[in-house]
Amino acid sequence: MVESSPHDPLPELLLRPFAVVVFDWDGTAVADRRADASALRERLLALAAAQAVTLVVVTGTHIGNVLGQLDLAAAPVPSRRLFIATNRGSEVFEVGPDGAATRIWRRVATPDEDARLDAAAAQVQATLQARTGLEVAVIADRMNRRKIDLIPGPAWHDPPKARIAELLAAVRERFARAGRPDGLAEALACAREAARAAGLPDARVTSDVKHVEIGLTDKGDTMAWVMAHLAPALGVPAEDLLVVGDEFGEVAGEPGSDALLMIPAAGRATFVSVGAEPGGVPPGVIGLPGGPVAFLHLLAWQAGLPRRPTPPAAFVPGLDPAWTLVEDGRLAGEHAVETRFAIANGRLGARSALAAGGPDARPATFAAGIFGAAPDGIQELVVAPDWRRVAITIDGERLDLAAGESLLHRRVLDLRRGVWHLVWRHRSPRGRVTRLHEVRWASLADRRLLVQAFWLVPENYGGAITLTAWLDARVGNLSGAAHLAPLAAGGVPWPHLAARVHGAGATLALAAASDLSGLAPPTTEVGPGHVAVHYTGAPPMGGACALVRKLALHSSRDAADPLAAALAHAARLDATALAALEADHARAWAARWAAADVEVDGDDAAQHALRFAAYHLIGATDPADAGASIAARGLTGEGYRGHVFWDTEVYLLPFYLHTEPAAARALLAYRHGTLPAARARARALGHAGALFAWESTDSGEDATPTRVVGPLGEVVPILTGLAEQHVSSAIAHAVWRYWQATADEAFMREAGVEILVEVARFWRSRAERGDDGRYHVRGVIGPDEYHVGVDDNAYTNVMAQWALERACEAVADLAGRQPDAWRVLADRLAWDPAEPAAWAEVADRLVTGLDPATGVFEQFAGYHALAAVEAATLVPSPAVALALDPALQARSQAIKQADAVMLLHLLWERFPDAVRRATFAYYEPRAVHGSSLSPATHGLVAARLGELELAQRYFRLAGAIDVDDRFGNTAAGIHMATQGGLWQLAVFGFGGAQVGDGALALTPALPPGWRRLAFPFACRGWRVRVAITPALIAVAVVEAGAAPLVVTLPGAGPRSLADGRLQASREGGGWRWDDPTDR
Amino acid sequence: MGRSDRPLSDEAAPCEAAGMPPGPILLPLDNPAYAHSAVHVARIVGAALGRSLIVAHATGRPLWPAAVLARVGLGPEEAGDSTIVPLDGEPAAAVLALAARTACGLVVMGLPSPRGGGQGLGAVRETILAAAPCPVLMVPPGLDETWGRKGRVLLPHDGTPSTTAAVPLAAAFARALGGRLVLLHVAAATPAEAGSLGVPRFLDQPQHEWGAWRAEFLARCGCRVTVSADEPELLIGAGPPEEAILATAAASEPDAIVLGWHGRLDSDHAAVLKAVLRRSTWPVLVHRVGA
Repeated sequence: MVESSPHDPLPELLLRPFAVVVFDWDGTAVADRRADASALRERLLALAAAQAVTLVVVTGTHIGNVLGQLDLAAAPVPSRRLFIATNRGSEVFEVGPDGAATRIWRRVATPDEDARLDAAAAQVQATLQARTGLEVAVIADRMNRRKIDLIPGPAWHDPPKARIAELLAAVRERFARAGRPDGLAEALACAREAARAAGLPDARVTSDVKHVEIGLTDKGDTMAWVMAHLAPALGVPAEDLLVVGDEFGEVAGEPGSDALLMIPAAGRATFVSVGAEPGGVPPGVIGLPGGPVAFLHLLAWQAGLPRRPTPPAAFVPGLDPAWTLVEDGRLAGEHAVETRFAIANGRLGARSALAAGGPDARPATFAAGIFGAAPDGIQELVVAPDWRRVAITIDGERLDLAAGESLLHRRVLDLRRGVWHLVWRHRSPRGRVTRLHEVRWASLADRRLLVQAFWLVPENYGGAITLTAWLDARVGNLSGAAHLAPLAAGGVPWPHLAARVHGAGATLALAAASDLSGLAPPTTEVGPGHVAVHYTGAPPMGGACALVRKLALHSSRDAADPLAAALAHAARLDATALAALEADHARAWAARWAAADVEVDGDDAAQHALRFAAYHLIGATDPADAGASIAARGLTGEGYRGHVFWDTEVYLLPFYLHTEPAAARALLAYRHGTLPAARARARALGHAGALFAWESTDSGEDATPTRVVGPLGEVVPILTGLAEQHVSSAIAHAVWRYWQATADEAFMREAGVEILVEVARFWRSRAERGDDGRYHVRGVIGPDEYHVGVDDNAYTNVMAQWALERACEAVADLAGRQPDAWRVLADRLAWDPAEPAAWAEVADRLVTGLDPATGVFEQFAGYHALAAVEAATLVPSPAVALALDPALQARSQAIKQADAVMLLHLLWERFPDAVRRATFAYYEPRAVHGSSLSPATHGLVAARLGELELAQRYFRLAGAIDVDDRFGNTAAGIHMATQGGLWQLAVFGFGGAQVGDGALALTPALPPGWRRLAFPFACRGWRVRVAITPALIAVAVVEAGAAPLVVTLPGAGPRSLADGRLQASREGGGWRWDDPTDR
Repeated sequence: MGRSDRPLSDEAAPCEAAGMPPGPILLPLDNPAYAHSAVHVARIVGAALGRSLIVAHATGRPLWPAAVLARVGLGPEEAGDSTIVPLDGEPAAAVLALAARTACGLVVMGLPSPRGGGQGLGAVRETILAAAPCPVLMVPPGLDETWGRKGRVLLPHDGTPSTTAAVPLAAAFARALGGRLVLLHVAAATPAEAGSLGVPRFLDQPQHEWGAWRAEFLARCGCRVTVSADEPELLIGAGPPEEAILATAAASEPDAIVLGWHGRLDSDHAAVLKAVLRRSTWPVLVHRVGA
């Protein structure tokens, strides 16, 4: 029932159901901040719950005032239905079913903007006081704005809106008495001029009569958020928006504050004013005077109107830009988009090619550890059967991106929940408008589960709709290999297929369960290597239909009979609702984020880059899988053929070590499993011990191609497979790092010591004793890679030296503390007690290249004699010019990536400060960063050396590599090492976290603009959360470990974490514990 | 085998579908010194495309066709079954009017020689080039009888979507001549045009990166006219673009160079186009894109 009103009947334009209602709070929804809002609450909840209308409150006040007045504690709001935009367009909160508000969008002033706002406000204050002699006050504690109070004092402390006319008169009178009858207009003009002078040309200058405000945002920013984020996520066009306020008309010669909601992007929305509007409403606004009473009446009418279906919450993407990746439309570079938006869970990964496919699509699904031989004989990660292709036809007309017009085509990757979304409104050549929401995810809770779901509405027609979904083993790799030989295929009840990888013997099996809404039971069409499942329905115009596909993908790596496993899995999935699967998946992601999310205040781009990095890192491993490691491009693309490099141990493992130690253990267990191949490789090259593969696949045999067709068409021999032997030291380093951070004695006993021993044996046999009595390692390639076949690469030698020393230490430790275990291992390794002494001798006498006079390592013998880098002559850039000219690489001092600088990073404590500084200062200008591995490492070392602006530049460069596809090669997959390097730069570099023997050392140094850095950190069984500001460090215990752990800070003694929380304040150049008690 | 959802097709995209109007080939001639190569090329192209040939000459006064041919140094046998059209009035305007009237598909013009030393194309050619309603094939003198049998057409490609728009015509032209399209990407800073693809800034492991980049470049910039066995070849050049283009042409001896062009010749525009036209000893097919 709709009660009567002076406005009955409502204007015809308002007698239609709106999908989104945006409304002003004070004066529109409530008379003032003390008004009873119970009737409003009932109306709003009815609309949100029963009518699925999305509501957006717009207010200048803070969230607590609105929530307090609405009092939602006992009245659950459906998910994705109520949003509150506060602080004059600077923040948006989402109210959840529990009544709690979560901030999902925020505009944060930079320190520079804050300073400019202060300067502008001070200028207005000084000018007005000088002109009038009146006291005016500056209110500076508001987010992104400064208020100049034109009438301070208790009489007008907090005037209600109802007294605005009196307030206006009082302000006018005050200024008139001071000889300025147009004082309010003068104050506004003065504020605009002061903002411009302060360097804020886009400042928003407004007035509520009592104040003049200078801000960075206003209501227009809220509306911009609605149009840019909320409406596309809901698939709602502007004409389905109702915007209600009470101040659209002019006030004191200025446009009313609600007129700011009328931004061009919302031009097709319907605008209503319920205000008195003494000057009348502007064109395009429907006047409906009556204030909150009229607004309630309007809501009541909306509640009585028939509704269009709205997508279930699972189909509405996340709205927080800090947690989402968004792509509108389709441009050149589709392959890179498919990479960036890939979904993965460590066991399975899938590029985000559109379901409809098309000529630009490069779809691929990967199962970790499933390799096959490419036509050139090189092992490559096999493209698994395709499961995401779904063709939609409407009365025989294909829903095709290339035909007709896309009214909205938005892809959103929800990083927080690990869900890929598509929202697509399409008008066919015949004028049929179809709205489609699609979601996909690779379950983090059930790592053999892939989910794809569609929700579809024929908006302006009714007709026969068919969704044809394929399971298809007729796929191939870009190498030209079609790896899969079909084994079996079948239809209902669980469409399935199985295929065997040619030659390798591995089997993959896929089975699908489905939930239908508005669709008839499917029919299937089974052919060689594929199954097509046809779902048909005939929803009425405006009616919805939905298809949920739950796909189980199993391999012979995890089941003796993958097809039986997949079918059994599908049967279980058949009985499980989408909501339950999604909840499990969301919980798993929430747990990983709780352990991995790095928060940055003051740098939105940095925050986003770190979330993007962590998302892909989390999706790259399965801690339960010790038989596979992380490929250079993860499970997101075919780049690097799925091969595993030293990247895993040096760049990636630290992330897992300190966020999910079990995953780090699994990665090292994979290497341990490849020891037989590594031993064979060392033997083949005439050495003892183990030489791990430069490019590793499933067996650990080296899979490095031996030649490549170069950029100019020439055949270039590739020697990295033979000569980049430092990979073994990287693995030894990772073992030791793991041991230091976990004290996992079982791992060391079962695998770690064995790896260290075999690596030491390799270096002992690899090093040659020269005529000078020193040991040399000749004919290698260091990390630099521009210089091939060099002698005594400093990185290689020092890492070998370190590995020899650690092997001695590890053997002594195990033999001393677990003699029985050592005896078993020693027998297995054919241990010679003389070995440690031989290792020590080599380590002691190995050439390192360090010049004690300068503190600079010579990168390799003869490096200093090479030609200096003449960057200006290298066009279009040094990195590209060098990539095209191997001869130039060889004769120049230009280096591709961190080499000696990498040494500083990995063995920081080994070198005195003078060596760190001298070596970095020498090599940093010589690095052209021809590798994606380079920027993060240079940034990390720069940060530790206190060169924060330089470190920040490297951070930005590394962060943009995939997020922006800055360098055009993201199409082949995510640069996983870059993402790991970015995390290390934030946590080890800016956060200064280092793990020593039973201690977490923090030497933080935040880059310019970062107000706060916070990160979780796992260490020796403890889980802590570190929060750093320029003035404070807090370490809070999330989960206590069994053994003691202390925290050290520069200038402050070690403190135990036993009490659950530590805090320290900046003192001079160091830190002082806030609790003076020594513990 | 490449992998995508792209339907495979072995059929050449015809020149018409690639932006060449379906009309005849127009061959304006003005100087006997470089008429022979232009006629030779125009006849081969006409035969390859199945187009008739119109030979036009600005005489200033009515002449018999045989006299027209004599003025440009051709015998009747060289003209073959061409239509001979004498033109009145200002030459460029007359040629453009004829091109419009006949809806010609291609204008073929001989290039003067030598063209170095700062000498440009000449006002008439520049005017025709700038205003022609179809692609223009500029033919240098001195081509021998083997022209048209080299088996390749070279398209310099800067990685921009607008140059990609020239790929279908270049591919169709190459196919019509029985040859293959060769793309040349000269390493340079990635152009500012949205969607452009330059050489990768990072080459972590060249044994993987070059192959992946080639595949991506061909997918994005090789357009969709050819796949599988007909996939264009991709070469990479270094140095100033005009030098790289001419050096690559000298090494690969194409039948023609195809240049995509935005349509402006004045001042600083089209520096590479002008430089190549000045120095090329290979016919240059100029195709206006993205204007």
